[in-house]
Amino acid sequence: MIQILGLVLLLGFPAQQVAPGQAVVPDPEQFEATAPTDDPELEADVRKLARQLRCPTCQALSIADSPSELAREMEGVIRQRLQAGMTPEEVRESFVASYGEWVLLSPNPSGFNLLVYFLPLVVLLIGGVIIFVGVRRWLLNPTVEEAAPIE
Amino acid sequence: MSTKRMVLGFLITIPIIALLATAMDRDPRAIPSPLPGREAPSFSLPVMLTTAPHSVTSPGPGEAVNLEELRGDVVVVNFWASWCLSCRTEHVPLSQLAEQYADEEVHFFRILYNDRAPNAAGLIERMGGQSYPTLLDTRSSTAIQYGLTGVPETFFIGRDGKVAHKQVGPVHHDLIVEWIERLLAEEWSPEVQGP
Repeated sequence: MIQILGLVLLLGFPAQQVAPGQAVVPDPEQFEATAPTDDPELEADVRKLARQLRCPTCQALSIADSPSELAREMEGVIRQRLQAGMTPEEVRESFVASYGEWVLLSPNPSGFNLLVYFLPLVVLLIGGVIIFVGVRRWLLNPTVEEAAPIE
Repeated sequence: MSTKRMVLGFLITIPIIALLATAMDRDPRAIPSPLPGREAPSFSLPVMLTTAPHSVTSPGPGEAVNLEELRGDVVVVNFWASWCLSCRTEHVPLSQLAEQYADEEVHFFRILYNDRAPNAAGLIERMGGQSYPTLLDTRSSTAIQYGLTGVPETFFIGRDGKVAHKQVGPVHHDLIVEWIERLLAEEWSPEVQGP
């Protein structure tokens, strides 16, 4: 016989008082623990980190910009970890450890990621050289091959 | 066309084609997880409900499940929600296999994600119960530690406490059995590998 017949539906029922055979319902006060604080410095750090991290359930949105519930929870986790004494860099790395570098809206400039930063410059440089050489050649020898007359 | 121009053309087009070919091989929606091969994030979560008989290895509602204490056993952790339709399809194989492996060193847990406990309890009751515990993850802190991007997602944790496989989307009978058998067959010694 299913043991959820004694389901306790009262919100706020503490887990410690639940007898076996009853289902536990989360305490809503637990959700308040990660609400914004009055500390402007801490909140500035939370917002800065939230702008750098990608919301996993959205399309190319940061946690700060996302209205999703998971994004709010992630913001709460950022706040919690900063309050626990972690530095912003450590908090950032803790999210990378769970989600991979994918979670960073701007990838770390190292390894293969360097391509993202340097490839546009290299392409621009090559393009510039090609244009320079072409224009120079044309200026030195501006003769244009004449098209064969149509008979 | 001169040889020089041909070589230049190849030098420009071949890297572009190679880059496109590599990108075509990848699913742009797939998010690679860094967890497989790494230590599974620890958790200590209360049991919301279970229909299994309570025992030391199968805790009852309100009791906490601590992943650290299960080191040496195989653990299957499935994140789900009552509003997730795919999660319903995997309910039967997960529940059946949890019963089948009850006497072995295998533990099944479902972690409720972004859902209300009464909704989850109601659905489990309608589906005929669940032979293993559903755990509560208030504030989704465990889900975030596991890099959850949606539900269902299932993690297979080996005897060494490391994540062996992450399955995005519903799991089916054969896949669950394959991973459990593979992980059960692995040699593990706490003396050698540490706690």
